[in-house]
Amino acid sequence: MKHEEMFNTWKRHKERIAVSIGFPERVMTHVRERQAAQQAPAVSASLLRRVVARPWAKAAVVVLGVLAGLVRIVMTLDLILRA
Amino acid sequence: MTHRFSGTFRGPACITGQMHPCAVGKMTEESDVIRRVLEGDGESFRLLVERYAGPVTRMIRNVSGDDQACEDLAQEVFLAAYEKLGTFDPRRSRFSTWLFTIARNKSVNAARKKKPLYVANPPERTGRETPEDTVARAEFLTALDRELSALPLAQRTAFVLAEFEHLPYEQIAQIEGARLGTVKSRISRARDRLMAALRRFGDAG
Repeated sequence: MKHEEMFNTWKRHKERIAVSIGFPERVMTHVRERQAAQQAPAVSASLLRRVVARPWAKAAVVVLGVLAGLVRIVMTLDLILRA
Repeated sequence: MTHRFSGTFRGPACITGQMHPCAVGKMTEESDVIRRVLEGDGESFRLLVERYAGPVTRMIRNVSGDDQACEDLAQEVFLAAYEKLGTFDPRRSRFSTWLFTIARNKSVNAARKKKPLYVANPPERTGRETPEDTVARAEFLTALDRELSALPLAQRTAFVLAEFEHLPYEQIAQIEGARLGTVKSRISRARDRLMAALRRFGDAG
């Protein structure tokens, strides 16, 4: 086989490619996940903006946080005392 | 199960490797698809994935020399493209140029990280071929693969884009971020080196 012919055979061989049939779906699954992740912070951001704009809402969030923390402490103490 | 993608890539192509009769129509369709994706229709991105899956995967395999991980890298390329699609400027480049630039950078990083794994399988035997011919052909394919993997990365990427993807030199220069003359010289040097390897292989056999 002549060199040029061998070179062209190699090139034709390298031009072949086999891509899995499920490849586009695999990519799209990740795209959907990223889309969902991008949309979720948008909801949180708008909610956060609304809370920040209202002093009573900010106070309510702090009180709720403190209450949740207290409830958790009580539950943990209850668990320890019962053990 | 796999699609067999054979043939060449000149601009937009699809996963089956068949060119649409109207390439200009496809380009218009492509900008429509990009606009739809940017407007929030993520599902339209599938059209771009299906069109470029073959060429992008092949380019990554041929540059990185990794037959096993090339689909994973191609997936990373498409996800990066999806995330950065808003930065794509159709006035500066074609979508294929932009996408190949991402693929080029990913495959160069992969090639730097690991040793080449891809070794060409021997071509299918024809009726006239003797077993000795088949062995000889497999050997020269392997020899050329090794030589390709040994090329400096800048030469390798330019050569792969020119010879296997059949992209015009101007487009390669854009992808490589190099001057046209530099790209031509890199491709020529890569070709000379591969031909020299082939001659050495022929003389030794």
